[in-house]
Amino acid sequence: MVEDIPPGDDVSRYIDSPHKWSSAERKVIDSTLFEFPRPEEVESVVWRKYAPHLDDVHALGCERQKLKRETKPSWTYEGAITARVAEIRQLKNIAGDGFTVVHAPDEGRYHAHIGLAMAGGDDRIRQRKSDLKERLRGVFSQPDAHVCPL
Amino acid sequence: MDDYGSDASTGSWEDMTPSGLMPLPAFSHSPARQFRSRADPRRCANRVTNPENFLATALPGERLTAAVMQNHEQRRVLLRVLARFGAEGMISMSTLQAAELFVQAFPRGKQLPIVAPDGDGGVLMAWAVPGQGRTLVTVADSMLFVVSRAGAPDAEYLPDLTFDGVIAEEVLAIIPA
Repeated sequence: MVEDIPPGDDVSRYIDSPHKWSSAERKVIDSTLFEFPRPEEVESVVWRKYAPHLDDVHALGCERQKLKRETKPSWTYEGAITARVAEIRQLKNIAGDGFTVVHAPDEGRYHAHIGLAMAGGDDRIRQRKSDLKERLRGVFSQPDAHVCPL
Repeated sequence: MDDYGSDASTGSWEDMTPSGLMPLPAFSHSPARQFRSRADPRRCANRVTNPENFLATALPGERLTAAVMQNHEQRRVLLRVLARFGAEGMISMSTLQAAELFVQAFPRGKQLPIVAPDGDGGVLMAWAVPGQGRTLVTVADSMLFVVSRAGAPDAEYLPDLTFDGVIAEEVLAIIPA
């Protein structure tokens, strides 16, 4: 059942290597954190209502690693970053575009999506989206690192 | 460079080598041309570039200092990263060609970007500009989509720019040296 996500709740995003984490430099690859690939233009996060402790998020991340490694052996869960839902929803770029945060329990009751909420019009749309993604990165925490058990 | 992306020095994509590359013809720049941010037109005939051949020749009169060699190496890595994006379908082939042209046209005196797929078939190039947020250039097909001071309250969205191998002055002006 789809629920409303209160603004005071937190959501967390998995950080995985090699796509979002540079093992060589031990840091997040900011540019790949949020891409909003077409056609859905959403990015998945964990709703902390159903994963209240960081260890719960890491456990989910390690489960995802196990699944991903069936087709991508190098996919590694490295940790998570977290943000307050209200801060995400309040973000706007100079064109008035912003974000939605909605429950998407099709992939688990903890699963939610951050989506793009474009103000309208196609003028400079690509520039607007890049700037939006830039702002989104800024409201997430530094990564809480984790190493999955072997 | 600051903490931003798959820059040329991270080696994040280093484990993959591009496939299906074709060698470039040898070329030389006249001293005057080294000050123009335009790709050699003979390169445009190649649909895929070979980073090794592209960077094998220094500019006439250019001393092979450590800084020049480092710049060569970083460009080589950057082109390999882009080729990897193309090979994995993260960016379109027309975008890959345009991005390679962009790197070829990029002046030596400017900082090289960090690159990543933009999720929409394009490639995002990013530079941190001290005190002024970030400059973002998305290369998609033969177009550039540029943001100055991204993430800042006074961010600016430049008009969509057609890219024909020449990097416009207004774009170069917001890329750090």
